Amino acid sequence: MKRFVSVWLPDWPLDRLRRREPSAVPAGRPTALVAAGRGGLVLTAVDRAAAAHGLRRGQTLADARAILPTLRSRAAEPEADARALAALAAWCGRYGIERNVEGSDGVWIDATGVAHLFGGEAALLRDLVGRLQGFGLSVRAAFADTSGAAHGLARYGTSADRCWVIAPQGLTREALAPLPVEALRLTEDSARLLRRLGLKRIGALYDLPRDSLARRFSASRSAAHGRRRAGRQGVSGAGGNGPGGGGDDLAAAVLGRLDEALGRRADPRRPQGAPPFLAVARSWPDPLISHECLLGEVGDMCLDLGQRLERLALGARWLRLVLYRADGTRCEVRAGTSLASRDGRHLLALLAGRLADADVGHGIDGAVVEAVEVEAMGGGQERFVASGLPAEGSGEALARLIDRLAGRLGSAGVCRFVEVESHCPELASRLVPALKAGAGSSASRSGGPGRVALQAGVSGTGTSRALGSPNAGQPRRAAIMPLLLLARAEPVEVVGADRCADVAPARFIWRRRTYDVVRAEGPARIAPEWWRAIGYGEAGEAARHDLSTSARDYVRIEVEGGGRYWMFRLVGSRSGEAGAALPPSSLALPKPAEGGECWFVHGLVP
Amino acid sequence: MPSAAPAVAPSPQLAVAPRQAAASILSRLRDEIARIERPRLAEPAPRLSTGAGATDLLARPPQVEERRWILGDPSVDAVLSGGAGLDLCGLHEIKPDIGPEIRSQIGPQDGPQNRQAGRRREAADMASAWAAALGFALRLAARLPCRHGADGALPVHGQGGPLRTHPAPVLVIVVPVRVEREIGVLHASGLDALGLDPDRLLVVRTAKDAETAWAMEETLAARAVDGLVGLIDRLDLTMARRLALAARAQATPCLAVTAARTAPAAAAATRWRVGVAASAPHAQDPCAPGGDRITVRLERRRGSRAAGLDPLFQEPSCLEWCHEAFRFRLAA
Repeated sequence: MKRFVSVWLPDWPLDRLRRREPSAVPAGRPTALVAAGRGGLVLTAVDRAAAAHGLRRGQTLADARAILPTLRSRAAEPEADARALAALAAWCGRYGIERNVEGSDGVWIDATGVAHLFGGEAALLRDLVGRLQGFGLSVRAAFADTSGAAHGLARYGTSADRCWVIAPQGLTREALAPLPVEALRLTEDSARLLRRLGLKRIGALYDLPRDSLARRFSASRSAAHGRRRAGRQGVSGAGGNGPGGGGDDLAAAVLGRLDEALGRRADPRRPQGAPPFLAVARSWPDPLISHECLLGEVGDMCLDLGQRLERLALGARWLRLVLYRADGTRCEVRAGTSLASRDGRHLLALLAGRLADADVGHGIDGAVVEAVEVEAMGGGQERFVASGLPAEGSGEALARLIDRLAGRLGSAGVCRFVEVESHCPELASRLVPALKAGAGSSASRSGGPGRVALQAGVSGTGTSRALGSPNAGQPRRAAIMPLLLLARAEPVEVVGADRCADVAPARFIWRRRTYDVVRAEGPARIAPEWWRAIGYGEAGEAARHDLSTSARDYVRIEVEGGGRYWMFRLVGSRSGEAGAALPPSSLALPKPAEGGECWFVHGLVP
Repeated sequence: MPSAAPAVAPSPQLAVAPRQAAASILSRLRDEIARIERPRLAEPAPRLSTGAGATDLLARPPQVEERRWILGDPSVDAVLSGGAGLDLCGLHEIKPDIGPEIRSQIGPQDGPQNRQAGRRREAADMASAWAAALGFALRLAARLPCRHGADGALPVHGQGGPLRTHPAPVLVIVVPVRVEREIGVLHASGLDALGLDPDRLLVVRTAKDAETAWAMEETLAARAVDGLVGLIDRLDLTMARRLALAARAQATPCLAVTAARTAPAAAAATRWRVGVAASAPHAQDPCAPGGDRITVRLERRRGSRAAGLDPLFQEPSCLEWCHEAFRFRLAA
């Protein structure tokens, strides 16, 4: 049986504003937030002092000023409110991993099986409410079997002096019975309709025959519709009724809400963030200040997580450590592994690298280590039999090295080569993050050492590449390519165009230095794949001069003194007018030589 | 060493043939020191993972004589520790040779006011010298005996590529992003042509020198790769010592390509200065460049007495890389 907590923050926009800017909402002076609405500016939130004068939400600012000329008003910031509420929902992760915002002023938490960590449900709610009140928020909260029931209880079952309530397990029906029907998350129209039918309490709906409710709804609905022909779309979202006869839909919506609240119908909700597969949570009565303490505790949690993973024959690929600071903020540390791992010490080492930079602030009073992504991982003995490789230890050590390096340098800092089938040399060899390559390249889910292709010895991935990749059996190396390829081809200025008739220019200027070509080998033509020029029309005139879609004549040259370079000429740039017709491209084309040739340095051959 | 002097002095051989005896004693002592300093390579490295005891039983004991790290040319290799090859557990420094005219413009050492100007000039002029140094380092690395090499005779290299007698080494290459912008990104097929298997390479990109040094040390400490090639602007005294110690402790060779203008690292086992060289004409096509050539000067080798005896020390030698056999050849 699940247990849900619903948190309601009745004065959320004002509380948030007061928290951020205490002078904006001074105590004792009536203040309201306004936004553009029907009939001018409308109050969206009123503080206690203003409410005492009879102001309420939905009034126009003009009416409110007529009642209370001293009212202070301020523009509402719904986006900032929503952002802050999302952050608050994230903070609520210490009470349950699955949680999210509820409407614009609440949070729901799936607290199934969590309460005992706090010493019972009452203690959990006391802790939660106490902390939130410590942040200066007015809070109502409820604990119930379903999220719908918790929602209703938090909003209609609490009062200012009794700000939290618990519906004991299995007693949701009884707990909901005295609440008004609005507690069922109904739209205004259906709630009004229910009240007109005399159904004021949720308990009144329990014993009603379900089909008779639909009949009474449709009769009453059409009468009501005749009276108010303005065409207001009453029920939305829940029922979606048309203007004609919506009694059935309306009844279905009301009954659906009731079923959800009573747990007769599933009420799936999307939790915030990716729910982790496994999580280990801890909280401490006194905040941890020193990094050493924190490391020790996180280390314990990592060992615990590793043991749990081992019991399930799993290994973690993505880890997240969430630290809850004493002042109500939180920070996250993430780490990935290239090979599924459940060694607590290794996991700690990955997190510890990032933890050193984390700001402890006023101390950490709660932490959760989550295994966000997991993978099947056999035992050590099983892998040994499957691979039979003497280099087993090395593969694992290498995977850990990748993790550590990527942990500090970022996953883009540790790369592997991936060969792409392309004629373009700059596309053919690509460096991809080693963490991702480990996940994508291997088809085997065995969790064995084949996950990391960078293996010593004869690795399993080598075979899978040969079998799986389309160019298996072809020679890997068609022509000698340069060792170093410039990030983008750099145009050179050709000097002495009359000597260009040979395979390469006799003299050129590159990076402000003049080079004399002594020897040259080539040209070797590399044409782009035919499908690259498809979008360029029949003539292909533009395509011919775009660097990515034009053929190139590559030459390997040696300059005086010994430097060797890999250069190319844009094919088609030799005729006189071609240079002038070059389209504006992302790459700055050089001023072509007199013959109209465009030459580029593309690589170094040391 | 004052304590060693009385042990040698009363030897009767000294009176007979003082020079010969001294030389033999010295060489014996040198061997002894080398034996102490170099860990026993025949011993398998302690494995880090659990359950390694069983895997160690399967591993064939690596043969010491196969684990020589040499350039491939007999006359050059004879210089390196008397044919024993380069130190497999040491730090080797490789500096680009920027030629006398640029050197005089930049100035002898890296003063604070010179550094910015030097860096700018270096960036403009030295792409090919840097590339030559990196190419030399990668070729040396390609010749590394594979730590975990299984069958010596099995050709494991790609289907169409040249055959190798031993598997390509697993390498980590640490490249600062700044250098990558200057001299370009490593290309898989170019590495393939050097005899390296791109699938066995890990390229680590760093943003600053501190990160580069950290990544290099971390890689050495992991004992997971056959070798490490790192491009780093300057290796200060402490960092060089740390890298040398880590390389020794983990028996992982470390090749550091450092900037030409920075001070040399004292902890390095060898220091090479590598520059570009004009190649010979191609055998079939006199207009085309032949095999890739570089000039190499061995500036320092730990254990060698003076830098005047070997031809390699005196002036740059020209080495040509043989693409077919993956070895160096003394060209001139």
